[in-house]
Amino acid sequence: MKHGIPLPIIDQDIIQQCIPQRPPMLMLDSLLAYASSSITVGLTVTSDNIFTQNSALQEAGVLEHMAQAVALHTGYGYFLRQEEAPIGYIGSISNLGIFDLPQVGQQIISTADIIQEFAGVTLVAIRSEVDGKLIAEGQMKTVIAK
Amino acid sequence: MNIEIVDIVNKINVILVEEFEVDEDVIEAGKNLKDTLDLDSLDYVDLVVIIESNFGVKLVESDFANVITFQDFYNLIERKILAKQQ
Repeated sequence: MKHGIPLPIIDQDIIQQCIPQRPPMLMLDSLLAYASSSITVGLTVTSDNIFTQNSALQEAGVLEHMAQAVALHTGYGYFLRQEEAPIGYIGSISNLGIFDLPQVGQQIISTADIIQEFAGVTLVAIRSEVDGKLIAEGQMKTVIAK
Repeated sequence: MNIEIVDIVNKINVILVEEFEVDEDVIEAGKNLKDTLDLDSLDYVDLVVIIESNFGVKLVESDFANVITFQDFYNLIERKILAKQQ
């Protein structure tokens, strides 16, 4: 618990204060754990999710969820400091593997770990699991707009 | 453990060839590091990661202020290694 907000955070208003995405593009619904160099977030797949087809969250949805995990790490850090979060961009995605698609009703849990920060560029490793099984992993470089 | 500058140079060159997929022949001490390796702002974070994992030294943005050539870069890494050993 930090600054009076216990984790996990499932309050969508707080989450939406931390990242710029809005429904129907919001691809996470809970902040499960946070540290200065990592974050764990969750998303329960619903049938009305814009990326759900054939009862499964499609690859684009999984990737967007992973990207928003990284965005939430940055945004929540600024939120805790009561500062306005800057706009960030995904600079690159590498070593991406999506091995399975989460089904409607399943919760995808993703952890993003910061590998390195240099000159405004952050290299992050992300792992996504469903019921403890790895379904996706990859690395992203994010850039803070100046 | 002391490491000679020639060993540092050789190791860096091997890393750069592998990581940035350049021909070994294009690497010369007096050449411009950024231009020769075609580094953009996203590539530098990779460079920092591989140097840290191979030499155990951490680079920050200000370290690159005076790095123009490969030789400058070799010297930087050597200084960092020596500072770490002291």
